[in-house]
Amino acid sequence: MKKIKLLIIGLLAIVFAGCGEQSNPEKTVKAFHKAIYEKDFGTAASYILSTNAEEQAAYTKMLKDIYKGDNAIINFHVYGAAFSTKDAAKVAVSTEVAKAPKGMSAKDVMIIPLVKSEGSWYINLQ
Amino acid sequence: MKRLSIIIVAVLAVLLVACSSQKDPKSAVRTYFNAIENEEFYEAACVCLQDGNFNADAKAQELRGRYGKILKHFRILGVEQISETEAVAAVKYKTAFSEATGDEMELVHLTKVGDVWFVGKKAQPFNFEDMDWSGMDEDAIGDALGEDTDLNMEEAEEEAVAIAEEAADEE
Repeated sequence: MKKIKLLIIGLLAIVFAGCGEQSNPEKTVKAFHKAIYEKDFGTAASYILSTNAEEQAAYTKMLKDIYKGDNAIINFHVYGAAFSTKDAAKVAVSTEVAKAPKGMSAKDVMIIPLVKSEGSWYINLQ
Repeated sequence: MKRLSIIIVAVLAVLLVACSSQKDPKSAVRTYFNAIENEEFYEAACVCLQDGNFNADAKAQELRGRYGKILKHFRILGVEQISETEAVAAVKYKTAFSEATGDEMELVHLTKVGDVWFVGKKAQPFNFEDMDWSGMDEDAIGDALGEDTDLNMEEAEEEAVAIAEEAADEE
């Protein structure tokens, strides 16, 4: 009976680990853009690979500056990932901002580089 | 007369096939990468946007140099039409070196000319006056440039005259 309990706990742990917000590159990019969409820039910055709290604060400020006013994301779609190695990947994502600058499009597609660190995927800006 | 009809029908059929393979951005990308994967670089070049200096042979050579015997198993991850005449596609593919370097991913820009989509982006000249400079802080622009942007034309003119006079005196 004890063995079965342990087995169930083990299985649940594996299932939950696989469902985590940063368990794969697409999920990280999706969570990052969702946080930006919700203007939760602190949470968004937590998906960027950083070494200390100071760097995190700088990323939070940077995101706040980039995605303010007309540049706020109103729609996004994560396309898929390509793995360079088992610990590095690129994810393609399309975004739409509230209002495009004159002569430019409100929609854009970009490739975001990610790295795996301690079992979780992070956006790699370095 | 009959022969002429057959020729016209054949030409129309070729045109129809060419246009249907580029009737939307996704088909254009698929046609382009299919041709590259099959090492048909001239066919791939024909899907590219043809600007004033376009040369299909040169483009085919460029594509052969870039993808020749390398690209395989491409997959279109998504296509986004960003304006009436522009689209961007995200494409993932394996290469001959994928075991060592992993998968590749690239963004492909597309442009619509008439009813047909081509791979490539129209060159757009930068228009300074079209930019929206409202809300820009002039001091911040100066700081970013790392130089004094308040150029005094009178002072600059006087300085130029002084240098010229000095040079004349030396002669």
